[in-house]
Amino acid sequence: MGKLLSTTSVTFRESIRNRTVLAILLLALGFAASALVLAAMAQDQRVRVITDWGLFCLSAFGVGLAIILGVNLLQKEIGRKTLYVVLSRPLARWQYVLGKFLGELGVLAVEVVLLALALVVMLACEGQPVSGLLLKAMLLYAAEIALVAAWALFFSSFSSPYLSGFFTLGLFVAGRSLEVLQHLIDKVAVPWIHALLQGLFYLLPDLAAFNLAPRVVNDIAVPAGEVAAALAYATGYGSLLVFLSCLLFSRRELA
Amino acid sequence: MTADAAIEIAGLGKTFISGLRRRRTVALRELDLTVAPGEIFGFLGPNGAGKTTAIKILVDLIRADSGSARIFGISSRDRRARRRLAYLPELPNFYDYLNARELLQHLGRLSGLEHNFLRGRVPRLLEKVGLDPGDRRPLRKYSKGMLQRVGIAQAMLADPDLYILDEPMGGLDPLGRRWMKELIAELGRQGKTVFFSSHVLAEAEAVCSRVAFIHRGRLIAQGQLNELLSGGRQEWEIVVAGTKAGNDPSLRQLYHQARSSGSETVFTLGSEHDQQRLLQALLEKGQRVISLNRRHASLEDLFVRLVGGESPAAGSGQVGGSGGN
Repeated sequence: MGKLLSTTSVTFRESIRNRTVLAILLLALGFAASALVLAAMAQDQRVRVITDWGLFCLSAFGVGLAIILGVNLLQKEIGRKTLYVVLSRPLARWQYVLGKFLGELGVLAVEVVLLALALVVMLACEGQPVSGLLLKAMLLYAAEIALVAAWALFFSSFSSPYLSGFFTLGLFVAGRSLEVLQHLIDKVAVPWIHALLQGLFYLLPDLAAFNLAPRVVNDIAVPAGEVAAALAYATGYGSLLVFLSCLLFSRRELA
Repeated sequence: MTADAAIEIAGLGKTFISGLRRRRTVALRELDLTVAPGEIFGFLGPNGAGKTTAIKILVDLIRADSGSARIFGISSRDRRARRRLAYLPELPNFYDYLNARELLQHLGRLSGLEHNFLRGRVPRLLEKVGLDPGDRRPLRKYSKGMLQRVGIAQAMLADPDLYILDEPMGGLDPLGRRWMKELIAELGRQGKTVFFSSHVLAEAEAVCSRVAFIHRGRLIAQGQLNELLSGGRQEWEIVVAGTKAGNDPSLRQLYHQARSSGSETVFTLGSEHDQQRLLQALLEKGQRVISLNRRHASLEDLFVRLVGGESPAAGSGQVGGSGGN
């Protein structure tokens, strides 16, 4: 346990002190704060604009950071050979991968908490209390960001950072657009294409369930069961990806 | 019952396959090697010979295609083997944003050392390798030589029985190299086994008790340093003032080679008998003899003899896939 925690702690410290990561966090805060400027133009829709823009920033910067950190998590250490003195110790490779991933989740948690606080403060300035619905939305965005990070980790365990980034971003876009795919499946008559699209539908992550912004701004209630189901989905899917990443990395040669 | 060898490599083979055309690069061929506990062993060969590949198999960073590697009787694939060894990679790199103290504490935890123990051990080690324990600068601000010292400190953390050092003098200035040689000698005196690779043969000559030569992934010689060197040829050198003697045809049959060196002539001879004859002839001709030296064959001479004068660079093309050997 000590080895895992030490790896997690070092990954967190190494990332949070990285100037690029700090710049992204500051940029994210700046973008989130710009909601006040947008709200000034929105007259009677101020709360709606601040909420929508604030959640968008939380999600977009979180996903961006998850991809940037995730694809470099293993590859950077392989490229710079910093992992040689780590893996030549009595440490299992799964401990290393899991520790690194948990450290990355810590950095992503900082991003989510910072942007969530920024949103809460802006809403408070407008005299708007934090609703349970908003908290649920933030929680599900955090789960989605963690799932994207797990995808990035999975791809980076066997491919280059650029390809991993491309694959992860592609999956995120596809995962957010599953409704379009479902629509396409309903329209296709050719059996084999239908089966292929159906397979793809089940393989791709269903990220629409994590995007609650439209419901928050329209004040449409989200049952607790729906949130729990989405969280369970993210935990299961993410755990499977981390498990596969550990397996692939354990077999990898570090020449 | 005999004690387990510190390192036992038998029939080790490794081929790298790269690219879409699946280009095969043979890095190791049937390598056999045994290092006894307490030895300072030089693993020598030109760049690209397969040294780093063999070392990476020993520390389980890569896997052999054939053969076996054991550390104190335990397979190198077994995590328990890594409790007995420390590894210093060639030109080591560490985390940019940690300081030396944080790095050593982390690596110590990975070696299974307790936090309280490390609180005392880390500053002592940093001091031992000539670094300031109070230095809070991130490692990205360290010079190559300082990083090499951090590398040695991380290797010494758990006080292992076996040190595997890949090109340990790389990146060090002359003072640093001397320090490293003294450190290796000190580890030897403490009864530790030191297995280090180098392509600079003079380094090995200064500190090793036994050496092995590897070329194109194959072991071409191994043995006690003094035995290997005494098997080599001895040469004599006579240095004479002026350059005329080198052109004297009556002396030509008495030496191997003559070359001008500034205002002097250096004669090279193969035996003591020749040396006596040439010396007498030179004195009879009124030449002023400046010096007479016996030259031992060096490891470098031995290596050139073993590879038959073949350019070592030719070997690197064969094993390029192992990267940075």
